[in-house]
Amino acid sequence: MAGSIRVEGVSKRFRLYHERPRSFKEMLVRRRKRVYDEFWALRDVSFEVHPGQSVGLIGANGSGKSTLLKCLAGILKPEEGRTVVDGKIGALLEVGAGFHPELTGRENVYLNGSILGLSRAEIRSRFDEIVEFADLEDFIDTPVKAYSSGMYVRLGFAIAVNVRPDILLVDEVLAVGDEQFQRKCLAKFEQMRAEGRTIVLVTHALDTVKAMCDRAVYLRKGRVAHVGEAHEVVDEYLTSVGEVTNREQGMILEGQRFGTRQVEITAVECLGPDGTPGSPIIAGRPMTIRLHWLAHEPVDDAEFRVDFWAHVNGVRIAEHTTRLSRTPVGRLAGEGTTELRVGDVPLVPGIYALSVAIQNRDGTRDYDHHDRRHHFTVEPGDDDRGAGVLALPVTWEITQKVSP
Amino acid sequence: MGTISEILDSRDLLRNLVNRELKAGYKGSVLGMGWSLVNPLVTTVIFALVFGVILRIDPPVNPRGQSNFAAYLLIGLMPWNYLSLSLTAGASSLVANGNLLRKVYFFRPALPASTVIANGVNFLASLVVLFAFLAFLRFPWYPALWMLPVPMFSLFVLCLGLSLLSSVTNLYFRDTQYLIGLFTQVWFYLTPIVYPISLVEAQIGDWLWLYNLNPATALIDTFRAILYNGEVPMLATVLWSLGTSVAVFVVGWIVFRRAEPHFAEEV
Repeated sequence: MAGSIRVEGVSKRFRLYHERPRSFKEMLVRRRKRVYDEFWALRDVSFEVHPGQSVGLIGANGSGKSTLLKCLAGILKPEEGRTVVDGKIGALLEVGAGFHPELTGRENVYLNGSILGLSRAEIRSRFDEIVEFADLEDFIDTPVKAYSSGMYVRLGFAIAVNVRPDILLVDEVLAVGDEQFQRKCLAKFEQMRAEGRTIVLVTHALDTVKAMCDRAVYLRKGRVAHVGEAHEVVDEYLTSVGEVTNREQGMILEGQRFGTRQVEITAVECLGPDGTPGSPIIAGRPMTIRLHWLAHEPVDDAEFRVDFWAHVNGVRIAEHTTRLSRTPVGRLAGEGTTELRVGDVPLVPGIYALSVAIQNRDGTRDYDHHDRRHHFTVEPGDDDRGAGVLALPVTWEITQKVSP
Repeated sequence: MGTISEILDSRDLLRNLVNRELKAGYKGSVLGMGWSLVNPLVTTVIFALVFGVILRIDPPVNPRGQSNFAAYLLIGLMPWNYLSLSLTAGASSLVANGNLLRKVYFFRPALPASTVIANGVNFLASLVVLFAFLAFLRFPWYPALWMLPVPMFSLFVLCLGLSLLSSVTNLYFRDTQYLIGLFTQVWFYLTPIVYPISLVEAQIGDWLWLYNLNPATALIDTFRAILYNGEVPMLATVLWSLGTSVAVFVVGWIVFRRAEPHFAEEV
């Protein structure tokens, strides 16, 4: 039946070239040396998707999610195993792939549409819908080099969702455009789901997986760690990621670090309700963020700052500084620790990023600033009652007029 | 899915890619597609001066007793330009579309093929100019014109094969694009374009068959028989040209399809 996917023992190997011989000279010089490392991005991955199901692929960066998606799309060929895909595939791995800047929006719709596998007649019949979805009626005959990046992405996305495949593969592109356009996209996915199309979604937005997917596949280091009901797999993922992060005490993300380093932040710990290192952080319970610092020279005007982010690339939820809380800091010398205590963590389960900094009083100079270099995981509490980012202290009340 | 149905499904893709090549290539230029004519015309003038006037190579005389070095050159240069363009454009056709290869699955031969077709359109346009020039010189370009589709087909197939080969080779070794420049230069002088084949025969005598193995020689010979002499070309030459073109294409196709699954990783 159209729309089913079978992944049978798929393994995909990559060669990481230290320095790939791209010219004859190099080829002759290093003929015999092995200049690459092998690494298996996927190892013996098997699962099945039934027609009409929507499946979320989750896992940490580098766990093989995107590689798996590319194998499904036929872009990569696995070394072992096979993928059996029944039906027309639409892959949303990148929006606007193949757009030519010199061509107009209209010409690019035809070009991009045909790259995505639409016939000319199909594009013609969907053209108005595409332009309307992208909201570009006035600019469709302008070369796309004159488009803003938002317009560019909107047009690319509008074409891609109008491919109307049996199976839609989506890689993180949900995070495009402004808020309004994102909602439009989610609504479109919802509609496609309702039409009985199969959807495979790679994302870090675990909420989206819970809300949109029936099932989920959790990949860890290229292997399937868990397959099952979406919310079950997401919880499993959060628990296991939480264990890892807490064990490693504030794993360092890929964020920026800058500052004069007169005072240095040497370690960051996130502590759960019982205050011991390694304890899980639980929604609705207290947590503590502890900064260890070392002053290479005495500093008189230091302020501490901690920012909470919904995701490494997400929204900054909160900014707290000793200055805003009117907490005197005094002179920093030698070593010390500073703790920020959070009463009852008002966050829904998920992964959050942290920025920590020691700055001067007016915020014009950073002594040491770790911009989103740390993260912590909030695990489900006893009483989870919301989704999104913030868990507001809510109760519902429903009044009904009894009809006669 | 069978290859044939894949090709049929990719007709619109091919058409749009050719469109992109043609439209985007000349956007913003005043002369537009005219540039594809300027190149062979200028080369013809230069070669006609150097070889015809300074070095005094006599162009062959056709059955009507006419001879014209510029006409002789132009008939050889136009298909040659198409050939060498296919090699260079083919070389960049995959590398320049790396992002597309990494992010979308589509019928991959469409990329080199679209450059060959787009250059083919330019070639057809330049043929019109060639006909006008030959008519102006009162050369017999029309009596054997019905035969012209044969060498044109042969040329197209050869161009396809060469561009498939150069596109894959350049993906693995980026030196290819520079080597192609050298290679075409050597090939150019091994082919009777600026000089008549009779001069070669006078030099190497019995070894002429070796020289004639060059597929471009047979191909250009066929074009000249039809347009310069107004005659039906010799069957052996036509068959050799067709055979070598198809052979190059088949090799190109096999190499391309073998390498294709790894494009996304290599690019």
